Amino acid sequence: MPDRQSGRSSGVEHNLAKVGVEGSNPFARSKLSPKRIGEFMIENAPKNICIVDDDGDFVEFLGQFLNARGLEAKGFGAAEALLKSGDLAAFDFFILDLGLPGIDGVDLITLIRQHSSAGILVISGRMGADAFNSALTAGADMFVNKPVRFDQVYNAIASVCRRMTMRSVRNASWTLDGRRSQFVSPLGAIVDLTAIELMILHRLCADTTTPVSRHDLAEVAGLVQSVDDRNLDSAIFRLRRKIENVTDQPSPLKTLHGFGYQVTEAVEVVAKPDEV
Amino acid sequence: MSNSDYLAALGYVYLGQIVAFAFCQLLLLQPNNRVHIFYWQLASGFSALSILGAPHILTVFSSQDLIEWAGFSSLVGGLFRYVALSFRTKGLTHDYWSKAFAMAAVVGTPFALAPALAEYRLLIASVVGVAISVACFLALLRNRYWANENELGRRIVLAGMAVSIIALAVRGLTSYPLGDDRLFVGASMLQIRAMELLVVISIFLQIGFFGMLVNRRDKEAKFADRRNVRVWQRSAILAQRGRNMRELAKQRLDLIQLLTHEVRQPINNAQASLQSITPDLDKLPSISDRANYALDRAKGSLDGITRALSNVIVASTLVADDQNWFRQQTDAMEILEMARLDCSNANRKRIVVAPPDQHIFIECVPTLLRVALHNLLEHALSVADAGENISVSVTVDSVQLGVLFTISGNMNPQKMEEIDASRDLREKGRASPQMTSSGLFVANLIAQNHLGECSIETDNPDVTKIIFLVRQ
Repeated sequence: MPDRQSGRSSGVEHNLAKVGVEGSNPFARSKLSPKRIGEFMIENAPKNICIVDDDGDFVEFLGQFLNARGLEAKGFGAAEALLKSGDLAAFDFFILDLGLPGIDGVDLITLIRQHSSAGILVISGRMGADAFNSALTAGADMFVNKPVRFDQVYNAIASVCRRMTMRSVRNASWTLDGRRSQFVSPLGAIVDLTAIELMILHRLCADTTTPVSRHDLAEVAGLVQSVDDRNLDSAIFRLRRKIENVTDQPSPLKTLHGFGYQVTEAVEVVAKPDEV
Repeated sequence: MSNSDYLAALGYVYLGQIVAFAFCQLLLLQPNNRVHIFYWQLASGFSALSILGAPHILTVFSSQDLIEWAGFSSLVGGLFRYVALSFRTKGLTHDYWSKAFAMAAVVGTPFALAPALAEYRLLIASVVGVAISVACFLALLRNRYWANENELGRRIVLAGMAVSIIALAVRGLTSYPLGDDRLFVGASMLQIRAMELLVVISIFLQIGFFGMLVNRRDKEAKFADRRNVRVWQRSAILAQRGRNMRELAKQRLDLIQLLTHEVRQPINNAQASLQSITPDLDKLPSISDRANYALDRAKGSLDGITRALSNVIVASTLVADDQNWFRQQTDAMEILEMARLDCSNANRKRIVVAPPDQHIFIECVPTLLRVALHNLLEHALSVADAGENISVSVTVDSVQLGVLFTISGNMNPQKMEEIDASRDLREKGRASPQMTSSGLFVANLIAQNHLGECSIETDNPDVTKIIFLVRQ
């Protein structure tokens, strides 16, 4: 346990006692249940959570809170302490601060991502595009700003776990079936597409690494181009909502403001629309 | 070679050099010297016509009628030469004497055509020619358009004009009735020498004018270079000033963030401590209401301070930062729940959330949206009637192509005036932190960052709605 008087405990490992009440673990009964407000359930709860923050009090209190909720948590005051411990592979979830002494939080995320696909939640006092963008680019799953309540941390863990579940089945990728005019999610949910939606998706999926301009999409879909491209925006908006409603997960479409759209995930195209 | 052939040869040399220099001048043609070149070539053309009419030069065209026109043509050519030398970038030079001589020449020129004065044509042409040459000399001397560091071209033309003044004066003094000659071109020794001098002077004038054009072009190139250097220097200074300002703004932003972070850190610790002891306190059976109230007050105060600090950081970041934030597909309810948990325990109980039937994902910056929603919730709670709940819903708006967060409740009209003030400012496209609460200001900034807007609906007197739109 860190010295409570000293406050900060850089480089000191915090072994947090598990104080959870037996039988009250919410993870044991969590199954993609429809969430109620204020009661987020964690699916596939992480077994070992690693907390790295140079604020010793925060690490200790958060650890106690998570332990009380039935999660195993271990705290470190610096990235070096975590790396020296040799336990990196043992953790399946990380809660990291960005402003760490020694190795920076962003570098630590990169290091973790080289060895693990564990969930990474960044909790940082830094509030700017730099911090947010660099954390996500390095591989963090979620970024939460301090101040943060422990309930919020718990919810954030739940959110990341839900995303990880999605990620785990995404090896199967999305499928665009031009013959049946269907868009199939990695979880197997089938979205029936209209002719225009099929054309738009087919154009976007032709090369997922390159964004497609509004002009190209409107031309492919045969939409009349209005001054503000509203026809195309409406079509994409409806398509997104349809995908989300049917699949219960975010659509793989990304808006590039001022330019167009892009598909950000792998999509297998089974049959082109013109082959039908 | 007979005198006649020699005169013809001189005539061809004269015409040849005019044509040759005309081509050379055209090679230097630019928008800013086209008027000068045009009038100079017009002058050369009329001078050539005057020689073409001479009986000893081009016998094919020579006739008595053309001889009558030769002097007049030569004088008209001289007047055009005056225009070429006197013209600046716009209009003729404002030199009184050159204009006076030119006007005298204009008046005298028609006399060269008068049949009654045919005997005195050479005398008239010589006198008017002297006037034109003096006008040209003075105009060139005073015209700053031709002024240059390298004066060689201008000096040659000035010298040519001076010589032509003397030569024409001498020619006038040797013409009828003072002498025997009635024609400029002729076989007498004096006429031959005059013709030779005409060719030589003409060549020098053409060379001089060509030199003036070259010098003028070089001068303008130098001006353009200087202008470019000045523009470049000015842009470099402005760019440097911009960089300094940005650097200063960044330093201020960093300072604000550092300051707020330094202040926020101990408050975070205090919050964490309070959070950690809350479950223990809840378990105590004998804790007094007073202690609970004090605990809630302490938490509420800390929440208020941290929210204000967060607003300062977000506002300063959004106002100063020109970077693009990454957008993430996020469940709208996750963010709303995050914002709800940011509120104090007592306030949280007053927020009734109506969850949507299905997941609604929005492409946004979750961390910013959390701050915006927290501010709007706190504001709605502060203006709602005491103890009244507020309800929050998340819906998809297919018309505005976005996601709407709607906070509704029975809000105090007097307190709502503050919101109205912020709405008025928003409608003008700008919001000012001085004019409204920092929370609304920040929410407004974040809405704009998401191409959305924050609006108030007071159609129903019992229910006021604060609507936050995030466009997709």
